[in-house]
Amino acid sequence: MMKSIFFIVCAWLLVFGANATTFTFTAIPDQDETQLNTRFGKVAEYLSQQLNVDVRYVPVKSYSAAITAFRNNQVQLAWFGGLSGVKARHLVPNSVAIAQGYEDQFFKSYFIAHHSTGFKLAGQLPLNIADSSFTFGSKGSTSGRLMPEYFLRQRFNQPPNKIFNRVGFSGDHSRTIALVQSGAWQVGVVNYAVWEQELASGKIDLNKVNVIWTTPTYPDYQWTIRGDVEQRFGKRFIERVTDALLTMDDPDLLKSFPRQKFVPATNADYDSVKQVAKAIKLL
Amino acid sequence: MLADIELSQTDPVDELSRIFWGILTPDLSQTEDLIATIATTLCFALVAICLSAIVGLAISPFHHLWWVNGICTFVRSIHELFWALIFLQIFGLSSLTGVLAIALPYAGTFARVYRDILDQGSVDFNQAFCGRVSGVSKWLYGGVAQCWPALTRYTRYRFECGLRSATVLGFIGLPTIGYYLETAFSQGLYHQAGGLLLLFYGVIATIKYWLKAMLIPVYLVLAILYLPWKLSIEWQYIWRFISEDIVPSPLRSTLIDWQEWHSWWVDVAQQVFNGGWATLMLSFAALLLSAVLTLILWPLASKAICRRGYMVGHGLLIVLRSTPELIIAFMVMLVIGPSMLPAIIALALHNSAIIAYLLARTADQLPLRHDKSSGLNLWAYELQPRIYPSFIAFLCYRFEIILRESAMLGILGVTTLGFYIDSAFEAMFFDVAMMLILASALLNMIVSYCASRLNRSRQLFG
Amino acid sequence: MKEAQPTVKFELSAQDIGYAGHPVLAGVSLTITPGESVAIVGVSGSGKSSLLNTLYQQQPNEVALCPQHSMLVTSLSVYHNIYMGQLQHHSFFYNLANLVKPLKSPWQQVFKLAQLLGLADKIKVSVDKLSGGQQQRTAIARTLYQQKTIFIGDEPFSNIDPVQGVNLLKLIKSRHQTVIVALHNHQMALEHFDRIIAIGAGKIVYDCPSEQLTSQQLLTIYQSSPVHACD
Repeated sequence: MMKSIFFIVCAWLLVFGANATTFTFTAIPDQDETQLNTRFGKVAEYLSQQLNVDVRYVPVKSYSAAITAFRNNQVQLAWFGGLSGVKARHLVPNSVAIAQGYEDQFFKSYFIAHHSTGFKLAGQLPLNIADSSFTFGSKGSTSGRLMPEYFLRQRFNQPPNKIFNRVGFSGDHSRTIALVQSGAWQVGVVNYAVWEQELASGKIDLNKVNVIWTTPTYPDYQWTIRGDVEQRFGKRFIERVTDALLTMDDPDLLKSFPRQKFVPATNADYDSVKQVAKAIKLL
Repeated sequence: MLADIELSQTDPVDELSRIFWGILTPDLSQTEDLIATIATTLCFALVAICLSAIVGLAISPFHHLWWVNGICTFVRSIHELFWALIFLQIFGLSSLTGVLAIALPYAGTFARVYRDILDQGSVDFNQAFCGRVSGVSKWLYGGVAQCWPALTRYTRYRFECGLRSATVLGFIGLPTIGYYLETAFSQGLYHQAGGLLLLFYGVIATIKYWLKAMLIPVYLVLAILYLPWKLSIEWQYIWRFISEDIVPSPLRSTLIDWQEWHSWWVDVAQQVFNGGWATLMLSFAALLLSAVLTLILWPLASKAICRRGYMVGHGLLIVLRSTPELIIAFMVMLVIGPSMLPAIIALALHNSAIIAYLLARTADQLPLRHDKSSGLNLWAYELQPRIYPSFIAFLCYRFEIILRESAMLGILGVTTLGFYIDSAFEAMFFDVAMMLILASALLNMIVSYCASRLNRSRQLFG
Repeated sequence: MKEAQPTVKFELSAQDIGYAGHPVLAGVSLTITPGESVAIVGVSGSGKSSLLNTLYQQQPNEVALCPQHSMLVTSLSVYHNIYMGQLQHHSFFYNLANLVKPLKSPWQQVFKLAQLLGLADKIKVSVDKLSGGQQQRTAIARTLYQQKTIFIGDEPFSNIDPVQGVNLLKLIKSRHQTVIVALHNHQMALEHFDRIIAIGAGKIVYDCPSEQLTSQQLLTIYQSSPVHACD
């Protein structure tokens, strides 16, 4: 009983207990959103050791909630997607992208289709996918919405709702796969990493759903930190956080993101994403 | 047919069997902080309902004033989820955000329904007062005391709604049961989702056993102690939200670009008209189907009609009304493909289960003659005609709610007003979101005005 | 209905009537045989309805009941309310069809009955638009439509003028072998019933043939200390 009370108190401290001397971060991984507290609690512990300050993890579910928390200084560091990072840095002057996942330097999305459509893997997005039903992932996702929409507009010169006879937002990559696999939606687009992971775990039946096109690469997830942290946590704090992230090599910690390792990143790396977001009027 | 309904060929068997297998073999061992999650859900609902019931009761005597009525209609026409997103900008992820997001729209509902209940109950009673009796004592003795059973019965029912709302708030990240349910469901972890759903059904089904009037003050104190209130209200964020975020973007700079201003309006107007039309179509269709389903569902949960078998119907209604619409819509969509139809079915199933529950309760309180007929004859000839006024009234109440719940179903590619509001919040365009919210509030107010004109009957909560 | 063998239809011996532990009437003993017409008199709240209900429970299948609060379904038409007297004789789907649109054969039967009760012009009107007296006549019509051998009515004429009340009673008696009615109109009780049971102060005050009673004697039950009017 005492143990469970202790657990509850801890959980609450994790969520709401951040105080002025606590360095707080959030992360919405692109796959496996379960047990966030447990998994990222370990990351907090690691950062705490490296930085010698109290570090807490706050679980946030939607991109917009994460951006809001970052903007209101409830979290000072965040593991953002490409689009949400651009947006956050747009809203919080002086905030900087400090590191990205190794894979995020050349991220990509897969267009997938139900077998009944007859679409096959091609070097170019097939023009005849027009007039099918099409689902994105979450509205604020880079790999499930922003970049695919950009490539679609390039190919068809039209917004998605003019290209397809119906456009939906499944809200999640796993759900996109489930929906296209069941034939409810004919075509969809997913984060390639989620596809590979679900394929490996046997959730995908290749007789029913298949990749029909791979997008060009683009930068995606990155760590973004508020510029004003140095006033609270001392000079060179940003540098120290960056070092701590870049030297993180415990597979158990990296698995939470899941990334091989982190590599340096700058705001400029995301200029392309920013241009696309502006063009599509998402910024 | 103006509504967008279309069937497509799908092969849903795999996914559906995974879902049902998950529900049949629930597993909660992978869910972290389970106890804390349930506690938070209960606390949010309890604190929010107590707060909104008190505020609603205090406002109810003034509900006939047009501006009070207007404010109440306005606050309740905005979905809890959107209130939460607004408060999130101001208070961040805190208990206050969760409690206020539920309490505010609920206070609007309480003010209206309390007023209706008091109006029905106290008509004759007020004539019994002679001499000079102060307005307050008249209201307390003639109204509140007189209608106490109906008031508490309604409040108790709203507590169940509050639990559902608290759950839904989890979808955006407040640490309620919905947080884990949404995660598990969208990631296809159906064992866990099934476990959470069953747990939630259990909580709803047992409310009457643990929510005792005597214990409410105790629960309330515990809930307030349990929820972390430590929060620093940063006035700068509130000010920023009012003075900057919700100001139409072209107006923010000192030099107004009229071109931009024009295109901003065109963009918003397009969303308002597209969204408003789709919302109305969806809501009317869902209302019609709700009416039909209610007729079939309520007798199943009525003791007078089904005798002991009513427990089965009761259980069915709990499942239907406690499963988030999003999940129902997802399952229906797996079978018939995306269109407005799964949204209509999901909204109708959910809302008809709620109306059916209320109707069964109303019907079972009606006095019946000793030589009454039984079973279906009793339903068709006696109970249904007698509860017809309540049936219509409940449908009107729920219509408002259907309108605003249509927001939740963007997954179906149905572009309702709620879909656009959600998109605007997601893109952090608060100026657009505010304009769309105003539009949907206006739509709601028009509909609720029309409904109140139509709904002349006053024998609601018999 | 002719030459029915006079066997006992209702029998109570030293029975307490009312709620458990709080009997409204204590130690009631009576028998009613087929062919009798019985008036039950007593002040309001003396237990007339409880007594009638107890009698009804003894023969629910043979009794056509006309309760005090007629409990009509006010949003339905006079026709449908009368038709409800025979709901259990038809299948549910027949009843449902008839609810949507009146079927020919029941319509004719009900129409005849409504004519007898002066309701023919109101037959399509919903009950909530009728006067108190018309509603009561509808309730009686519904009871008659059940076509049972025994009629039990709880103040069925309270909203109807005496002349019309007597006519209705005659109609009821012509169509039922046994008639048991709770009444306030003592004139009617004396003149049109074989037997009068008076209750008061939690018990049966007297139970005797009406010809043995005078109006004066009957009225004693409305006094503070009722006396036995006959032995």
